[in-house]
Amino acid sequence: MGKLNRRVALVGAGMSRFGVHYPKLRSIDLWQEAWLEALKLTDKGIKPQDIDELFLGNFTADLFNHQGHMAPQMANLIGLNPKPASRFEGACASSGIAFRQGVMSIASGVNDVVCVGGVEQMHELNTEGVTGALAAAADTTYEYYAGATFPGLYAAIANAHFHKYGTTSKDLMRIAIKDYENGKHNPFAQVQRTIPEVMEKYRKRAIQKGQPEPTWKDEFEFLESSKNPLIASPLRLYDCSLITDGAAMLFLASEERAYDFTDNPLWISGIGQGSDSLSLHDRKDGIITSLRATKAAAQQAYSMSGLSSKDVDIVEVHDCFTIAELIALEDLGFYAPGEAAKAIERGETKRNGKLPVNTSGGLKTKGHPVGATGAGQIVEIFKQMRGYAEGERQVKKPLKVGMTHNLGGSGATAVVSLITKEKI
Amino acid sequence: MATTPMITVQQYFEYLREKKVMGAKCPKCGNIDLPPRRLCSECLAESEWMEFSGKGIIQTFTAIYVGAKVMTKKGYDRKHPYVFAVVKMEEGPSVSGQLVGIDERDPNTYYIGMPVEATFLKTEIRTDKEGNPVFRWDIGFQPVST
Ligand SMILES: [Zn+2]
Repeated sequence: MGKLNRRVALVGAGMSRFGVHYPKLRSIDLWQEAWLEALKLTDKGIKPQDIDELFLGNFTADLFNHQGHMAPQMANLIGLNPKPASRFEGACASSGIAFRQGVMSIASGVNDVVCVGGVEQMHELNTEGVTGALAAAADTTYEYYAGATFPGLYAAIANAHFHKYGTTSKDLMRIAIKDYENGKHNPFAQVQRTIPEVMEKYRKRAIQKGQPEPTWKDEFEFLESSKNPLIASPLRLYDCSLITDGAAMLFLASEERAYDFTDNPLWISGIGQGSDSLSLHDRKDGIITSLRATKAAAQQAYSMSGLSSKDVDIVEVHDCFTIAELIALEDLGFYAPGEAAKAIERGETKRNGKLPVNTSGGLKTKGHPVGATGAGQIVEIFKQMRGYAEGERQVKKPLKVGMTHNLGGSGATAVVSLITKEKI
Repeated sequence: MATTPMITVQQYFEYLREKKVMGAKCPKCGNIDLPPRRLCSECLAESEWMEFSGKGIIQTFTAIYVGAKVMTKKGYDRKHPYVFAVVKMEEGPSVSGQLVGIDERDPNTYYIGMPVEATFLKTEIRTDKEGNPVFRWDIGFQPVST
């Protein structure tokens, strides 16, 4: 138990640009764009005939677009019919779950080569509609009528963390500033602008309109201003991820087939998944400053690979909100509970720090097309480890071990993957 | 003698309508659950109804400015946030509820550790055939009355 019976390689990966695409581009278009992008980064190419099965992540096209039954539709677009195609749903962890299922299907010997992907087109609804659809990932019976929203649930987690460990809003701001700086260098990100650049934009606009020029002395003052309104205290606009249309795609192969597609496969050396109560109030022993599902998933991935948090060179964590990034770093074992904020302040999680975190810009700037997010994280780790990250974003130190952490809801689902340069 | 109703979501809501906070207690291991569940969350034995005092303390909270539709319909908006709280009941378990009876815009009027008591909040969910409103009752919280 807890082992892959065969090695599984990651041989290609790519994503559409994440952004506000509807109605110009819909799921059907974004998915095809992801195929073309993934093909570009599959050295020796891949054909539909090579692929045995599709594992698709999608949270709720049912609510966003009145479209169910998406897997055969997406399989059709990339020439996979009549092969098996299934959709996996785990809220924002949908394509993380699909990825794990794809990995296990190869490890078991059922498949040799699979396509794993994710797609979500959210902008067909207005913000209120999107908020309503996303709320379906929380506990409708007992949380929704108490007024819970997703920012609200993570805000409640943040307040508990502040109370227990003395974490502050300024600690969260440092995370946003860092992630926006990374997103600037990601041509596939929804927002490619640093916080100082956002401030400059407001300054210019004020001058143009003949309004008094803002006098923020630094990013922190800007982030405390009315330009960064409270969404759910203590979380403000720039603490939150974006509403996004996007698709991401990955190709996995058995060790025997991997070299048909590339001479430099990466290896899925550990993978794990955890679950927890949908509602925050039902968390075991009342603990909400830490997510048990993340810990369980990480433990499985570490034990499967024989690696520990010390071996990880780069990580993409699920930062649907700044507080989620901070807690993930503690739950994944990088820092003791209550210690991540200090490491962030020391700059350890910056792009060329000791542990680069969310070099893609994370969900806050790259974007968060919920069902495509988990696969999108793996695209970033693939690009970084293969040296394909665009421009300044490429981490300079050697990257032997990469990790992804994908959450669903307020932490009721978590998937953790360890991707390595070497076979383990 | 009337038979005890089964532990269901609907019966829990019926009790809330009667302004009673009814949780569940496991006869086998003594574990207490709120919201109630038929199967004990610790040992999966069949639990029995247990009335709660309604008293607890705020475990965590947030003032929500961009609200759920159910709340914006009640008039809350960016200028008038509402407070979502998780309350640890004195019997042990925690439950979610709206915090009322405080000044939502003044964060000094509510805090983690604050003693609160249950109140019962109604929401119109639809209208019946005759056009009369149909309500749902939820547990909410307010500061303990002195
Ligand atoms: Zn029991």
